[in-house]
Amino acid sequence: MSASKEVDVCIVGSGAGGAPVAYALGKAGFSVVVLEAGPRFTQKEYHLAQTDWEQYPYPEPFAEREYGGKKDLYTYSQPEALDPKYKKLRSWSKAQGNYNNSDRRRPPHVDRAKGVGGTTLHYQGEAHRFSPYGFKSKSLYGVGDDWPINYKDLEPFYEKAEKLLGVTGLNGNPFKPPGGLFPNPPHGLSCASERVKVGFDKLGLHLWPNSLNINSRPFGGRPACNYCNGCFLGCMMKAKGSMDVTLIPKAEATGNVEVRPDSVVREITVNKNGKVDGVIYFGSNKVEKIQNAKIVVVSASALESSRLLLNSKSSQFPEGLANNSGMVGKNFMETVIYSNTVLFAEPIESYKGLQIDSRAWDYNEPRKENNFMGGLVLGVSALDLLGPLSYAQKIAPGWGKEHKDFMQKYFGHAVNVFAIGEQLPREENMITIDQEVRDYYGIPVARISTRLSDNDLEMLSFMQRKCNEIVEAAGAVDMVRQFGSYDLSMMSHMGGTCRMGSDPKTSVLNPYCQSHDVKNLFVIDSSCFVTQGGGDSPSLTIHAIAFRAADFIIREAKKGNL
Amino acid sequence: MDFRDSDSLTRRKFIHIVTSFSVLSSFFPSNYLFSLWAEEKENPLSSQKLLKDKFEFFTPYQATVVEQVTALIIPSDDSPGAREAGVVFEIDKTIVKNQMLKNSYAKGIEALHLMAKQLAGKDSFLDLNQDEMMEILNMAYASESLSSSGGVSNLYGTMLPGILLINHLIRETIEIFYTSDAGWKVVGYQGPPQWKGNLDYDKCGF
Repeated sequence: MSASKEVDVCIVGSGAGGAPVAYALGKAGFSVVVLEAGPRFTQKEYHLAQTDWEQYPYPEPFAEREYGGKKDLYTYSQPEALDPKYKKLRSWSKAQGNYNNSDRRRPPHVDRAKGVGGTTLHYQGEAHRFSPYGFKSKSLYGVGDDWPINYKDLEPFYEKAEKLLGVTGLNGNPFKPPGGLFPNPPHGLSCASERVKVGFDKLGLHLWPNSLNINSRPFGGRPACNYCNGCFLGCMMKAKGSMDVTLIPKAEATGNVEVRPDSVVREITVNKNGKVDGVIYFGSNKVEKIQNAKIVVVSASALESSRLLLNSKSSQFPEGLANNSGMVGKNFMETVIYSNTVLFAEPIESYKGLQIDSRAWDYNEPRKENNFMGGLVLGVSALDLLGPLSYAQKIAPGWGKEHKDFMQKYFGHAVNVFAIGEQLPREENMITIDQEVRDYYGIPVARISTRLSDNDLEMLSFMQRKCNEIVEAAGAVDMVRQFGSYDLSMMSHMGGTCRMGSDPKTSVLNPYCQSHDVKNLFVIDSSCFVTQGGGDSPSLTIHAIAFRAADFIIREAKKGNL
Repeated sequence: MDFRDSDSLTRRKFIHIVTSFSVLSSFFPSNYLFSLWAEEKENPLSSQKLLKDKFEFFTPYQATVVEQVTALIIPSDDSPGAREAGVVFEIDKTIVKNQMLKNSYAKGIEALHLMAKQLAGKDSFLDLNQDEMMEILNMAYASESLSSSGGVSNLYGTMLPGILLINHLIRETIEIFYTSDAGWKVVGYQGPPQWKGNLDYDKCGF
């Protein structure tokens, strides 16, 4: 096995957590190697300029190539039986009937991308600060747990991330802390959002321009968005500030950071003193290599980071690296989502614009009158209805005259009103290792065990009720589809498998994402989340936590403490 | 996102399939007709004019059957349908590169011919009137889930390739039509997201 020259820091993953750390440490003069499991995508691999672009839905082009994109690289425990009390939450479409006719929830489906930039390649560019309550939900509302840090601790790092990325937004959101001004102006609301806003307004809700990491004007050497709405299929014009076009190039420009794509880490190694000293990884052609490093940062997602730690067993850490508490993998939090797809009589050209250009934060902070705990955010989106083919395949009647009449009448008239909420942490929701199933490289895969609680189901019921009220108040003429987490499982936001905390017995990381057990090991991604911020998207919080952790690494390394 | 459930066959649909098949097939002694058809298959009888265009794989008869089915899936009216979009030519180009598809099409078209005989006593699929063709398409569409799970194979026997072909053609025709200029014109779509984008995204007509 060949070993590369020792570097100061080896970072596993180049997404929302790994990229800011690489940039900050490279800028501070640290020698850094970033090992990224996926390839470096180029514009040529995106399909949005092709006439048959709709024939390449997600996970294209980000399908995991070693399996031809067909096999998910994780397993799962048997999904829960569906509680008939909530059968009104079943997912259906007029054109296709029920999406799940079984009596169990569908197995987990994880939305992610492997490649330089990580899942920011696929995300919709949302750039949300968590609200202050999100860090103290236990103290304030008696639910979930408190983070060991508060909003004020992260505020300067939120601001730093927003400035570096050129986040757009409208100041004065009544449901968010005042904070710094957005560096770029908001995008105008799309026609679809303007149309649905009528319903939000009637109900006294506040539909607000979304804060986005998508250029509203040229910024950072990248152009303004041209509103093609294909953000999640790979932004060809680089208007979306995914890490591959923002912080990774900045990191590489420092001259101290090397990014190695197609490098799959199988184990973090430990020396006799109980400190990490590098990683073993597979390079191209499955050749095994060693990268020695003084510090290891794991930023591979809530799913993969915990998998890597649990797979890194040694005599010092027989239950997995940094797992003396037994908490690695525990408190996995998935995504609680519900959506209505409706038609409007008039054209709203909903396939034009941004993926999620508007949000309503009215329920971001829990309300006492609700019969569930935790927060949620409402939104408006075309989601997957981006062109004629998706309409034809997903919401139009099957074929023939009825099909064609529908297409002629309603193409561009459909929109989704949806909600995403936080799942409160529970120890029994967890990531473990499935020793029976190995990936292409022979590495045991992660096993997801997750169930919805009664609280989640009540939240979903509220989401359904609220989305129904909004579309009715907005004057939608027909409901053609409803879907949600009750019987499906769409995990776009995950967190919590290596939570931070002050007590080494109940948490994996300290408030700076440093392992309680191993001083020169850090886990910097949504794994460290204690709660999910009331339904906000996690990427900006991951960036902020990463910049804060990087500052800590720089300080502590200078003192010789790592 | 594709949430379709592979087992989503409703009881209503199932009853419809069984009833349709039982009623129609009871009039026709299938074994006799099948042997008769087998002798004719190189040159199926049809009173319809066959397409004379040059195809890479399809015979004129096969091309005409496929075009007819696609024209039922996306019909022509005061705007273009699958026929005007040339869907049959695109299908021909696709299958010529794929031996499995070639076999599926050949067997499927043979089965459609058989269905025409068994279900309506016609000499050829092309001799069915539009209502009869629609009935076959409806039956095939309703039975897709059952056939893909293997449950229908005993019920339909030699018709299965025809049922599978029709459902394949529904998917193919829709994919080809709505990624063509003709399909875009029908629904008023301007073309792929890039590089033009939609700078008018907030210019609303209401």
